Amino acid sequence: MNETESFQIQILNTFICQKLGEDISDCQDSLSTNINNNRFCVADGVSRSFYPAIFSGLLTNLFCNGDMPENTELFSQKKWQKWLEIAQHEWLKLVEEKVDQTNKYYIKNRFYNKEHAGATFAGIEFQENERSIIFNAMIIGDSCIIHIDQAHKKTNKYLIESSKDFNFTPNYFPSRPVQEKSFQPNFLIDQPVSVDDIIVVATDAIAKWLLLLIEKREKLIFNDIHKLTYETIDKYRTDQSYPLENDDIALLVLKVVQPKQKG
Amino acid sequence: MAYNKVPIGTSNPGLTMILVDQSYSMRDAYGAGQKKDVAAMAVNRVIYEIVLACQSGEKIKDRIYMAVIGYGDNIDVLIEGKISEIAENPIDTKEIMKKEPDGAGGLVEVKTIMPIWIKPKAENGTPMGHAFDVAHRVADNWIQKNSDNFPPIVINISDGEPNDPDHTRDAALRLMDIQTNDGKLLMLNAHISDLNAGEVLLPNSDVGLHDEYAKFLFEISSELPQTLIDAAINVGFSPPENARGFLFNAGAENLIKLLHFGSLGTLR
Repeated sequence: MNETESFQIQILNTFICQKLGEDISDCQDSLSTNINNNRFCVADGVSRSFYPAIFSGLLTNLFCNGDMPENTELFSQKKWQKWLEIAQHEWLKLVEEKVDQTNKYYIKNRFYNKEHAGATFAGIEFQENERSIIFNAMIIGDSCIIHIDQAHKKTNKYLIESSKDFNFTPNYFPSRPVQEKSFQPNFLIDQPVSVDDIIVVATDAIAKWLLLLIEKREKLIFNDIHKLTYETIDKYRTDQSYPLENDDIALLVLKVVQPKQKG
Repeated sequence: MAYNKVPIGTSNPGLTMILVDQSYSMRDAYGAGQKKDVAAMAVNRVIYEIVLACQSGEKIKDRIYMAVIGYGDNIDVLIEGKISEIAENPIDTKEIMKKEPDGAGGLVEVKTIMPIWIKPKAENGTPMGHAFDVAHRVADNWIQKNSDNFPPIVINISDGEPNDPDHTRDAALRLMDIQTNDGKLLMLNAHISDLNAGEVLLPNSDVGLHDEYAKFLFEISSELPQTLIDAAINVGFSPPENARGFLFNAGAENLIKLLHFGSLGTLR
């Protein structure tokens, strides 16, 4: 961020947690942030797939911090694929090492069978564009982006717009090339944002719950979303009115702010 | 009853029990082999699929407790415990080459290590009622520690009538009376036969059943909750409204499908 830029992204909350009753090492969700290039993302590893946590971690880390080869444009329909190929290549390398070191039949069989990991994904990048602030985003599956326009008291939801629209078979990125399944992400290009707007990037369970709250009692999301903690999450999981599903969670709450004046 | 507490994580595990008839008549021809071979193969396969469904990275999460009870010359608890312990302790493994689609319209041979927990056996009579008694003990012990969880699922595979019908009925009804706060124990029965006598698949009434034994098995089969109805549809069954977990004169393919949806249907 240089001194002439007109905005910064303030991270109000980064929150990741596992299902109730499990260890954090069991969590298949990942998130990553980079305030230098204004990239932020979450990924949700498909829990029954093969080594999903490794894959979701690679996707998020490469998106925010990876050196992209020339001609890779993350938000281009035609030029984003190299990023996924790098993640797939790295995943295979790490999984091969693990398979070599184990004698567990259930791991070896899945590897012999060329099984892959899957992960849903939502990644966003903020930019200035001719003195306005915009974001570009890439989304696949049921990871979500919620844009809360503070000035207009308006909420834009991507891609899923209703808490009723989540299901158990979302689209996802595979960790190996898979011929029979489409894994083309959706892109949001040049979406305007303003100072004070809040952007939520979230995996499915928490996104579904936030959409439900928006639908039912909107105030809470505006006032408290940046206060979510391990304690409050557990409370919400047992809430009788609006229970949060017991699932892994990755959540980013971002705010567009004016840069601090220097001197 | 709710049947809402499906074992998504390890905090509310389920219990699945499989009861396998190991009486002498299981030597009869069935599918490509004998009934005892197909039953053992199907049970081994479904245990392996449960292991895979509970795998997370290198770990097996204890989303399910399992028991397999064989009944023939004895009542043998062949397996009982957490799925993570069961996964690590097959009694044997066998390396086979499986043909799998290569993604381009052809087949390719893939090496597979098949774990074996249950060996085929067929001796003596059919003490089904005593097997239900043992299942009752296992379920009762489990519920003491898991009273809010999804209730136990019992899948009974048999090819013939029990030794003692009266005791078997009493034991079955006692077993079906067990419940957690989420619902009553679910009993599924697969009567297997190679007679081509007409398969009855997940009926919702005993009106079309002309055999007294079929009516008895219908009586001791539970109505399927929505979770298992959905799972049954996923494996290719077309259950009617209020369908019960019951197959009569089932061939090998439908036996495997019932085992699959009954055991894996609650695991997301």
